[in-house]
Amino acid sequence: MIFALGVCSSVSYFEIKKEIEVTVKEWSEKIKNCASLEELEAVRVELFGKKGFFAKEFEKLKALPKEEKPKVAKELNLAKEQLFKEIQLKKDELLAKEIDKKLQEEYIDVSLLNSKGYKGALHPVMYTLDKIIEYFSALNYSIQTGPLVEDDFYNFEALNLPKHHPARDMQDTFYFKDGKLLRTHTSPVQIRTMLSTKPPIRMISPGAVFRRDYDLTHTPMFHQVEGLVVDKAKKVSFANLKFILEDFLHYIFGDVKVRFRPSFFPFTEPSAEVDISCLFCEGKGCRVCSQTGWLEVLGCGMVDPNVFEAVEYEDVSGYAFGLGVERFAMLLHHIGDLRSLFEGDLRLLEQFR
Amino acid sequence: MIVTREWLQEWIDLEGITTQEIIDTLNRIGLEVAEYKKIEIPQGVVVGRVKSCQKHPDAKKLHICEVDVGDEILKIVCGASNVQYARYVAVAKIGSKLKDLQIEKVEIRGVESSGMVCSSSELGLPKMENGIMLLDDSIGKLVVGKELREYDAFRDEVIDIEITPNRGDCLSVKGVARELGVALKRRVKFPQLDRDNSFRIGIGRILNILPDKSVNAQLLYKAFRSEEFSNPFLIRMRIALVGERFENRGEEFAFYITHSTGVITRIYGYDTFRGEESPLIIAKKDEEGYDCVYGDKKASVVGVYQFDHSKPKIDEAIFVLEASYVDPEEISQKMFKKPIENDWSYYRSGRGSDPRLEVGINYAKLILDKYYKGIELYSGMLEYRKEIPTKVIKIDFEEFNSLIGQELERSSIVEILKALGFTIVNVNEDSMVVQTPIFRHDISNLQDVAEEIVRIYGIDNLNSKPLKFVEKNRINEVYKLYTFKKELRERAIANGYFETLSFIFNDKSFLEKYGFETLKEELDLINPITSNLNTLRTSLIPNLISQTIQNLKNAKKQVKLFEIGSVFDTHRQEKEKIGFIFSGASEPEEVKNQGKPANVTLETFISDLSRIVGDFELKKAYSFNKLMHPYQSAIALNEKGEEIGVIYKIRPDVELELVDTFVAEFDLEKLQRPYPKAKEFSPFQLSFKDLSLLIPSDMEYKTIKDTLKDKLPQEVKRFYPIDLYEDEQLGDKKSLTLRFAIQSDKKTLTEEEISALIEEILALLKNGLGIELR
Repeated sequence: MIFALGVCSSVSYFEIKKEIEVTVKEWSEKIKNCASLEELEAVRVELFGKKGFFAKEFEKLKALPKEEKPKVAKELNLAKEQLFKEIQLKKDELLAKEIDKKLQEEYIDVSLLNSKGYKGALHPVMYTLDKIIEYFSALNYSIQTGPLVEDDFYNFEALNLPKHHPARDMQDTFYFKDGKLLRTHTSPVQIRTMLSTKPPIRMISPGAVFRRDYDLTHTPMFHQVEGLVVDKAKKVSFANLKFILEDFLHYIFGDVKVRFRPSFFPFTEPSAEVDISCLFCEGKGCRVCSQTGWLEVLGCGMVDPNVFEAVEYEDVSGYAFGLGVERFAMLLHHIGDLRSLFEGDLRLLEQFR
Repeated sequence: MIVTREWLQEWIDLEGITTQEIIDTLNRIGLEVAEYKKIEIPQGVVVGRVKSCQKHPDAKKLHICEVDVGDEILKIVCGASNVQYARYVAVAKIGSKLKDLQIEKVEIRGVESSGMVCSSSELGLPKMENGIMLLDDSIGKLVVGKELREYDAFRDEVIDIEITPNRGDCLSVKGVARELGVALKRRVKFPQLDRDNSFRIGIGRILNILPDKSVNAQLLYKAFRSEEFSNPFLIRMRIALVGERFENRGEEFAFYITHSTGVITRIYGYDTFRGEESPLIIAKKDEEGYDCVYGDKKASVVGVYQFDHSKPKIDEAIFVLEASYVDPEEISQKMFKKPIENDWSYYRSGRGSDPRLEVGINYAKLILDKYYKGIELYSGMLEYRKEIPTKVIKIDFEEFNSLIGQELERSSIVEILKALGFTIVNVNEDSMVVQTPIFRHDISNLQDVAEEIVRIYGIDNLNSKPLKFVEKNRINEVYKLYTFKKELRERAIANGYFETLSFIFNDKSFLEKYGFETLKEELDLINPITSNLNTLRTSLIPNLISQTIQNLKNAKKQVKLFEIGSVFDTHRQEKEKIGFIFSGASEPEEVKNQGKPANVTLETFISDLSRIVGDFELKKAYSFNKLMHPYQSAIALNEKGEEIGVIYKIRPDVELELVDTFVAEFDLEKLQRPYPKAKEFSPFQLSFKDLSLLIPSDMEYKTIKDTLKDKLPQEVKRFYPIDLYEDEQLGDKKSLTLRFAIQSDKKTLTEEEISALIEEILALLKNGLGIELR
């Protein structure tokens, strides 16, 4: 024991050194066996405290012969240094263990956590409308709107649809007791815009329209986007109309074939309907395209001179087009039932999250 | 407009052209094919002839027939009342399969039956008559035992075309054939009679016409005699394929001629015009101003309607065939102003029937000669005509080219127009003058002619090129509102709300029952589509509620919806609003809530709304509809104190199957606010002081807020409630703790300065409201 060391001066330095080594080993063992920071701290105090082991040993140095003092002191210092290091290492080890334990206690099964069901979704029709508006805004079309309750003049008369015209049959209209009506298309906005501004005009008008029809494929309300471009006479051509619509349909539907079929609308002449190759069967023929391989998506034409006359425009030329937003949305998002779009049914809407 | 390939063949040679090519061509030139169907008669259905026909001894309605089917004579029990000796019928032999019916030998009331005599519907054809189908040689020579499917008529192809309202000229088989002829570059043939089949007696001997000059209609008459006038099978089958059915054989015939030629024809019984003196057709206007044909009585309104009494009766033998034309514009205007009863003819006359009346009469003669027996035609015709003005249109080539955006060969323009029946009046360097065909009333200007040219040339063959235009700032108020709405929508979905759409219609009785505003009676809809969509909505909330109820029925435990849409006030003024509904569970079912999330509260709902629409203040609602919870309803105000919306809980006692449901509706326009300007902020220390006040139980926080507002020292930056405590010991008072944020712009305040400020606040409260610290 080192205690013996002080009293027995006859013991050789080598024996002392050996004894120190043994004692250090014992202390090392003690440090190693510490299970907690508290225990370790106790050992540290035992060793290095004011009344600790080393304090006492250095005290005893005084009793040693002069020539022995430095040698033993050196040994003691070495031992002190070593044990100090060991305590530090042990402390780091215990600290790491403790943090690790703390962290372990904070364990969460992340796969149990819910990251679903918090967000809502845009309505597919409105989302589609956003896409359409995005395209035309980027191509410098303005957006215009108009009232839903309209006058016969804006909805029909000015659009070359006089009261007796058989084409009025195509649009079964909701009327009010004071003679007003719910607009059957977004076209009255064309008239309103032409009456309130001067050409050139470059506009779209998105919005709700109404027809008295309610069955599997018709709802009394749906949404349209109407487009109108008016410029100087002989400036706007059918070729321009073809260009914009082909580009637009490619933007919306991707890589599809586009075809133009002659048709009739009272407010355009020449008029055409535009088809895209079926998105579901790539033109082979399926139930969605009624085996034709084509899907009708747009109506368009050069503005009829009678329309320009109704708004007192002279020496102008222009084109117009119109589309049904619900149809676009149904085709783009594979929605089978038109009526479901107006029911707020979460079983449908949640799919668009 | 329904045509069949065989029917078209009568007018145009379709040899070597597939039906698919016909359909594609029609689509390409603007006659949109809506539906196509091929008639397919099953194998084993053959022509049979009834050899004998007796009543079944044990069943009143059944017949036992012996039917010759060529290689054998079959005994067949037949239930149809029209089965007759010697008639040709369609027989489904043993082993054949009709739709889902396998024909087998069966015993019917003790009699063995070896096959089935078929009706048209049993063969997959439209219903033609009550009972079995009686064949005749209008479909070709009848050979006993021959498969029905070997006859052209029974393997015909039916094409349904959507004719646009301007193309009255295509409402006939001949019209469609003419269009096909132009597109396919094939001549349209007019079926010719080899000989004059007129009877010797002139029509003038039996009938005369007395027209009034005021009549604008065109009329042409031919008469014939027939003891046994009945329409052949082929004609009746085609009419059935078109989807029509007529009780009167004369009308049936007239419809067939009209549908074939586009000339409106009618047949009158001769008795119609047999007055007391000489038989006379009187053409004059009626009291309403319609051009009419009279005998003793009004027989028909030209192009609109034929009265039943003037149709040939079953025992009549003299028939008067009429072809007529009225100006489509004139008749549709008249029908708009004074609508009267109308039949199949008005659909055509209003859209423009063919004015070439001879075509109709000649085709009728041809059909009578071909399919009818014992017809004796009176020679000559009676007529009343007025000249139909033709239209001459000048086509400026430059204008035409700029309209379509490219230059077309003049020769091809001329060729197309000629093929369409235009007459080229002259052509020079810059322009040409054309005369429109008499049957194309819809063409009146350059654009119309251009449409005809590009239609045939093919719109798909035209160039496409971008328009050069002048750049312009097109960001207007509508665009700004749109982007604002888009932001709102994005925020709403980020807070868990689903965007929904609903009709702008509501049930007026629902609105009235629950005390919503309604449209003034005199401004409401005349012709709603259903009674629960009989008025315009005055709020977004009723539809949100009904959609929520439906979702709850679908076992949804949480419903969060919003809609942006128009609503109307009692004066029908339109306003755009955003509406929200939050019903049921406040969050998804998950581990943290043990699968039992608490229901939504007003606090949750309001913090949601604030995240979406921005800051607002609330005050107690003072007027209620009958859905509103009287103690959880609020008016939302903006910073200017304007009302921007309403937020409320749905009363739990309304009969709407809703639990814990909150709704809100904001005025969209009032939610928009300008992007703010920054203010300087103080760099000095900010301290917080809490004051617990004893206030009357019924005092609203808003009262305190309003009292302090604008009066507080400027060092009090803001204040807000942080605790509410109620206790019996407090009696009719409650304790409300407010937290005040205090900061000077000039320096760090000392404790004494802060205490002085607190004293100032307390003085304001005491003097203003009489409230003190707890």
